[in-house]
Amino acid sequence: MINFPRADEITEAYQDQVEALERLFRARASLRTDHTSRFHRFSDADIQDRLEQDRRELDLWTVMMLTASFEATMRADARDRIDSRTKDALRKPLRDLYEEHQDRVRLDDLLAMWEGHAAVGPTMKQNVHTLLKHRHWLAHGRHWTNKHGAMPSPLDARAQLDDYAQALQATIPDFPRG
Amino acid sequence: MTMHDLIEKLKERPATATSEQLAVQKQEWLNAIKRLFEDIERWIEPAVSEGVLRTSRVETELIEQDLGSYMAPSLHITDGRLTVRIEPVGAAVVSVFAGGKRHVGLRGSVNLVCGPTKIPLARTQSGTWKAFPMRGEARDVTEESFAEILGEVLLDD
Repeated sequence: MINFPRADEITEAYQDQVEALERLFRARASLRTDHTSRFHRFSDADIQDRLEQDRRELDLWTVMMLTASFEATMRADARDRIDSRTKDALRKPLRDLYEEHQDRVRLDDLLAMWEGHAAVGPTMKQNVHTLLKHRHWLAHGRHWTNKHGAMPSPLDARAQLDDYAQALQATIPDFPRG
Repeated sequence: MTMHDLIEKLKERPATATSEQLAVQKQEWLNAIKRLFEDIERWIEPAVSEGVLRTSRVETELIEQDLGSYMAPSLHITDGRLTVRIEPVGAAVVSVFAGGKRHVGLRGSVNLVCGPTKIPLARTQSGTWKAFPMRGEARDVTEESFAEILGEVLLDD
């Protein structure tokens, strides 16, 4: 059972928050004069800078959440597949992987195992592996230059992760389990 | 891994372009951005003449996996209160998810940014540009649609 928010919940919340930020930006004239507002007496340029920074962070956080949700999905599926003793081609190699590494199975190893069984196109693989590198950069403090190209928008990241999941489903129809 | 497995894995790797091909691709991309900015500057020239808008260009560094690090122009448009920036995202952008659907077959994208508003403007296969707002329909980038977009981001309620 996954406790982590699913991708559709994350993107729904993301789009709500983007719309809220954009509507806040359009209401800047009233914000400036409202003494209860956090933006009281801000200039237009100050409000622009603040809300732009908010949007930038929101986008980064959402990509991080989406990739974390993807990892939760992959791990929950593997656990459930092993525990339920499914009859598909993945269960045994997954079980062997978990027996070898206990609870310290690397996500890269899980993906490699799936990619060895499912027809995942090279572009899909590259997109997801690049996203995971972005996630690594985000989750570890962004203290080095990220050279993996432009970070996709959250909605594009979601689409890339969906492509990958659909490729897995094409081979193992009951993916994701758990 | 057997030799057969290795051969299959080597075959399925994405084809790599030569450095000459990448240089051509980069130059074509930079030329496309330049033409877009020239179009926009021409469209808003009357507003610049009236003194209500000003434009400037700045060079920014882009890092792309295939093209590496390079300098590309950004276009800034200001009304004296706010600044709209049109910033290159990358030549490698081939799809954009917006308006509840996925738009594919694209050939590079820039973002129009003003405060929390970020609208991808992406180059289509025919070389035209389309705006992909998160809500609403995608639209061709024309003088009229660009004026509408500027109005949406520069004017408050």
